Amino acid sequence: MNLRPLPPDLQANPRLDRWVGIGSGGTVDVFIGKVELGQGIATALTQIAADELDVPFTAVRLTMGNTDICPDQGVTAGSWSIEYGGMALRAACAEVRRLFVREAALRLGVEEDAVKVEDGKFYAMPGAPVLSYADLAAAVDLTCAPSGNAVPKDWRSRKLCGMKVPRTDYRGKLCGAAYLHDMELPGMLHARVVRPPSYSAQLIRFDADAVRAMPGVECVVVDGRFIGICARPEEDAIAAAIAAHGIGTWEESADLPEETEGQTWMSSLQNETSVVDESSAAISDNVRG
Amino acid sequence: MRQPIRLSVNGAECGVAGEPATPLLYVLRNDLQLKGTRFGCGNGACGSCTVHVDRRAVQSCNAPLRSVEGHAVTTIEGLGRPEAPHPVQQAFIDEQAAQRAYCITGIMMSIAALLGRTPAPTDAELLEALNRHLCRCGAHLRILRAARRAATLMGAKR
Repeated sequence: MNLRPLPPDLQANPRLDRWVGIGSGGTVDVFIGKVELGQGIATALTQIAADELDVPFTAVRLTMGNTDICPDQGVTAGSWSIEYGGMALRAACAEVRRLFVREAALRLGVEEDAVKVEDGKFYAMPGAPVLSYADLAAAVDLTCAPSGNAVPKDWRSRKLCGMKVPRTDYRGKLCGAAYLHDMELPGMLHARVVRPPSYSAQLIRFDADAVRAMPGVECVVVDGRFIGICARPEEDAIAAAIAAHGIGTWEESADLPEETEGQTWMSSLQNETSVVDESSAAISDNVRG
Repeated sequence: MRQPIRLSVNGAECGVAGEPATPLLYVLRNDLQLKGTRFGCGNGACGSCTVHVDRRAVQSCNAPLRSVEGHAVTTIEGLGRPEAPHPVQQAFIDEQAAQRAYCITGIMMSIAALLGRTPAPTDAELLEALNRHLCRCGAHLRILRAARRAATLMGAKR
């Protein structure tokens, strides 16, 4: 038996019912500690889970980012939702599927290897008795840790991953559904950052109280050359930020090169060279030359 | 000075308290909770906040409240609903013409306005209408396909 290292997100959330819940009515709940911001991960993660559990795409009910019930997977950023989150979900689903296959084998009186799973149904041979996830759910305990030896399916036997599946979030988004950052919390303020007028401009003088006295302003933060303004409503934060920029006295210095010097200036900076690919060395020499 | 202002949004009359110079965008999103009008740049550079004012596409971040008093404002929520999308929305769903989709509601408002006055636009006319919109995900070709499909869908309805 080969013990495979579990994906980090599964190691950090090592209980299968944190990831998957199979209801006695046959519902397939999948929980994920990432949120759909328009990257399409709700669709992609559903593809991954449905493939690994061998249930129809439409059978999966995905719950995202609910910190009470979803695994803690840190931030939703970069490409981690699929690379880490997706691989953890795939491994968790492989574990769940394996536990259900084990239970099905007992009931069908066959070896685990002989159990086939298709469309959420477990059977030993065509025409033989068929069991569903719902039939087995009461007997399978998912409050356990992953075993580490449930091997995800071979990529060739996946039916949904790699296929074009219509995005599950488009109908809502294209009809005006809110994004996560549209969420409004009680007492929430709106903020704006005041940008320095140039790259290394320093803030010499700033009358924060003058900004604090502006309509709607609740709080002004000054830290070095950083100015942040919180206000309500949002338009008052914007107006105060514009005013604050003018109120500040900035000292600017010409520390960026002329546009025409861009190429030479870049390579004159402190740099670190590393070889990415030996075969392309000749090409990069040409480019440099 | 904040003052009561009467607006007509998606066919409903509503009263808000605002400064006449406040851009319509913030009132739609924060006072009326119509989040489908997206805040992209707030500077008239991206087109995400496009709505209709009397069926014309207008960037709501550049439309002071006083300029829309007495005019009919339509937002994406007034264009169609998930269970009954407008043909333009249906075309974008059919073509999966988005990635993040944040810019698309504004884009669809511009296309709907164009198709309202020019039912069978040329590609040049489509590009002209889309010229005020930025899509940084690069869904441009799908957006064009969806716009053409929308014209066909709306033509078939007439």
